[in-house]
Amino acid sequence: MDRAQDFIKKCLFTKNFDDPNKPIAEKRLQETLLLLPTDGGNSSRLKRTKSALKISAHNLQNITEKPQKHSNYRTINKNSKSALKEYIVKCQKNTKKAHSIAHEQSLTTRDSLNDYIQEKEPQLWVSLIQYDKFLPMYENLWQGYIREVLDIPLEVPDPSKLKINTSSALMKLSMADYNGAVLKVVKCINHNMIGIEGIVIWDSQKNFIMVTKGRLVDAIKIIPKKGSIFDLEIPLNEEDALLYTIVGDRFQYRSSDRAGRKFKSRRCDDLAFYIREK
Amino acid sequence: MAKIKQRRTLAVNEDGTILSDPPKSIGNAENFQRMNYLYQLSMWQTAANRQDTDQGLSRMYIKNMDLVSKKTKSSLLPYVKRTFCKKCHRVLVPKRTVQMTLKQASDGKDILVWECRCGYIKKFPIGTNRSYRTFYDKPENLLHM
Repeated sequence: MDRAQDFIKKCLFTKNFDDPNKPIAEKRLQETLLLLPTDGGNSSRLKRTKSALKISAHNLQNITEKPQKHSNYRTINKNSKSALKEYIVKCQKNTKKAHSIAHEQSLTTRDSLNDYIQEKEPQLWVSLIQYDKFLPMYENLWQGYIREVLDIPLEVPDPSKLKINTSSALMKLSMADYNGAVLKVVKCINHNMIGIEGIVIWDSQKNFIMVTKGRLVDAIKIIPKKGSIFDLEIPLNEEDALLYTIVGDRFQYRSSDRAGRKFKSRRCDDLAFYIREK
Repeated sequence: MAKIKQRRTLAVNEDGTILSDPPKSIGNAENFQRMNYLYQLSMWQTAANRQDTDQGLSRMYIKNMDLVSKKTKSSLLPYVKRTFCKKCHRVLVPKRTVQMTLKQASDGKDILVWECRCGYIKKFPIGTNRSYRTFYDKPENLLHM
């Protein structure tokens, strides 16, 4: 029927293939694509490690030629954010340790615990975070800064005569820096957090990291901005102070982003906790 | 209706530079106040908080200051910039966070080398031109307000 087929079989296939009737063997794939069980690369890895362990002139030369790294290379050369995180975690651990010491020795007052730690564990005492050490950050630095921003004179004898342009003051406060301020949680979804007061040491995107005064030990606390309302006092003189309130839900920006940002109005159905009474 | 622009006669120096009145107030003063505050905080933190050997807090403040200056396009004086590490944002305090050494270049001129604790090296070729001043050091370029 098909002459061409016949011709191909006779002249071409007989020359090149063993069986001209079946030029392509059915089992041809099985030989090449056969999968063998492996050991997951163990043998080659072992070989490599063995060859590295062997002492030879070549190996020894390589070791001596390696450049000397900077001392404490890995611990120092990490970025500042991870350093801060490590610092916070370390402080939290130390506070926990101090609490456990207080529990074990059944010390119930702050002074006795401080004396005990100072005497028995000087290492812990040095690295324990202390509220009083952070106090000048608020008293000397932040107060001066916020007065400068709001144009409050150094001495305010009569607070009723003080004139502050409210809208511009709010604008300035929205751009101000809150590292070092004393904030107090007044309303919160989580009722356990109401009443926490402390010096802000870091203003992250979604949290305020504060140093708080505890009954026994001072501690670092991480207060989420979401669902909490903060009070901010700016003292004018010994008796009077300005009181501002920060709505944490609307404050969820990185503090560097807040520098050039204008706050816009948003829908406020997530702020129901603000009007709800307990 | 287009406003009619008033032409003012420009005061021109004999060198050809245009003289203008100094500005009466600082533009975006809040940002500068903020940066100044952050800088002070960081300095205080390095001085007071000795148990934090990595200077995590103070580095973050400086980093924040740097970010604010970038965000608001406000530049810092070279004196300020020289006091912190560009790479790890650490405040450079001699003997504590920075090692200062005097080296000599191949042509025999002095080079001041600052090595930060992170390993970042800053070089100042002080030997080439002893009378060199930065732009802000030269008279009449800066206005104190």
